[in-house]
Formats: sequence, structure tokens, C-alpha cells
Amino acid sequence: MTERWYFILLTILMSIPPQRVLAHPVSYQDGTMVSGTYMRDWIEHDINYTFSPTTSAGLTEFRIGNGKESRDYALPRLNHRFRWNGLDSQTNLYLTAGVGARIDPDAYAPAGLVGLQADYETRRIYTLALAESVLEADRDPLTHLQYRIGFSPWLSGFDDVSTWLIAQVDYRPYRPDDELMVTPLVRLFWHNVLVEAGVSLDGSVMAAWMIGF
Amino acid sequence: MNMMKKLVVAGILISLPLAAHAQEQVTLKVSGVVCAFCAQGIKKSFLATGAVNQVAVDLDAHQVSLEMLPDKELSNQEISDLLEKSGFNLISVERNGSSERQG
Repeated sequence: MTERWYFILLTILMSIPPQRVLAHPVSYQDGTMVSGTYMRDWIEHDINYTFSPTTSAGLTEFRIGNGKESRDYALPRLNHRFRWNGLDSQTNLYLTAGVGARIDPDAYAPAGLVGLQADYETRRIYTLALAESVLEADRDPLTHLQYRIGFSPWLSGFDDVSTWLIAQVDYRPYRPDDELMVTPLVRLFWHNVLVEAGVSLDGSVMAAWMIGF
Repeated sequence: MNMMKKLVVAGILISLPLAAHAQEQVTLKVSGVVCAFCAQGIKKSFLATGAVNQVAVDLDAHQVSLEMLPDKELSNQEISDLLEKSGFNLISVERNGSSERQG
């Protein structure tokens, strides 16, 4: 797929309500991932191109809200992966850093992003921990912590639809009235397409998608 | 007897071209292949070499099977490098039934 089609696709995808997909910011060399994430007061789109076996470069744009106001950001980012392969398991550690801007109605302000993600999976079990902070010179950091644990009720072949049941816990201290959110969700993937959907215990819809090229 | 010998020689001569164009089957044992979504890169990487006709991934057996194109081959090092680019590690290679352990 040419670069032109990547940008057309990204433009189309940015018009679709997004969700937070926490899968793999680094895929395989010369692979591209596009994704969208939606949860209460967090809307995000990402595109990442993996240019080496362990590192990808990408662009993320997101909107964060605290229940009273929301802010928009756009940041180019680098993602680096450390991976340990076992015969029946895989462990990943991702480091992310980006520098870009907060987009206010009449101005731009510099903003940064740092993140750490670790996951462990077998064909039956999946667990993930994430910590991310949005950094700005004139404001307190916006920090987001997330933990996931999931299992696959049945083993699927390479060409089958894979099904996962996942419990996700989000902690967002910048939302003092609503710091903690617990969401059971279902993840399905088939070939290079992944989708997730769930409803949090307090009734907030969550959904996500990811496509690898 | 002369007729017998002629038939045998003819049979050998006919089968030689067929053998030369037989497609090599390569079976790889790979670590880390626990997720079909993550393993999509394996298929893409091998097909992009122009040497592979088909790629099959067996998650149960931790195996990747390659059907090579006629008269094409990939060395063990090339195979290992392609798997590493996809994020996985090669354990062993079996070519048409003969095993070679890596590392």
C-alpha cells in the first residue's frame, strides 16, 4: 500500500469514533499498524510504521477529557520493543516517547508523551500493564495507568477468528470524580484485523480497532 | 533384457526433470508464535522474498511450513533473519524430511 493510501485511510479513520487498543505499537519490519480507541473522555488514533525488527515511528492524535473540559494533542512518537520468545509464550516490553503539541482553539503549545507497556501472553492467557503520561510545561502531567487480564476460552488456528475475554482496569487521577474504571470486554481478531468492545461497570461504552498492513 | 534396460533408463530420464522441478518443503520450528495477529508478519515476510509459494502457520505445533517456488531456495541464515524481522526466533529447520537444529 502506498504512502498516499496510508494518509487517505488515516483521514477516513480519524472520522470514526476511536477506542484505546493496547496491542502492539511495534509489529514487524516494514509493517504498518493503524488503530482507533474510544473510552470515556479518551479518543485516540494511531498510525505506526515499523522500520526495524524492534522499533516503529508513528503519529498519535488524541483527545483527553476530565469530565469538565477536553484537550486535543498530536504527537509524532517512537516505540521500541524488547521481546522474549518462549516456545509457548511471548513477553514484550515497549517504551514510547513523543514530542508534539497540544492543539488549543487559537494556538499550539508544546507537549510530550512517555509510556511504558509490558505484556505476557500464551495461547490461553494474556496480561498487560501500561503507564503513560502526557507532559506539558504549563500544566500538571496527565497520567494513565491500565491493567488487563484476559483468557481465550478456546484455542484458535492461524486462520480462525480468535476470541478473548478481557477485564480492563483504568486509573486516571486527572479525573478526581471518576479515577477508576473497570471494563469487561471482548476481543476478536482474524488475520490482520482486530476489534474490541465492552461496557464498563458504570455503563460507559468502550471499543477499539486495529488493522495491520 | 535389453528392452528391460531401455525401459529402466527411459524411466530414469523421464523422472529426472520432474525431480529437478520438485518444490522443496521447508518446515520451521519457531518460538514465540502464540498469536495469529502477531504472526501475520511471518507470512508477509516470506512471501515477499519471491522464493516462497505458500506459507502455513501451525500454532499448535509451533511450526511454519514453506512451500518453495521451483528452483528457489532460502538458506537457514536467511530464514532466521526473516523470522527475527518478524519478531520471532528459529529453533530448527526441516527440509524435505531432514532436520537441522539451530543455535
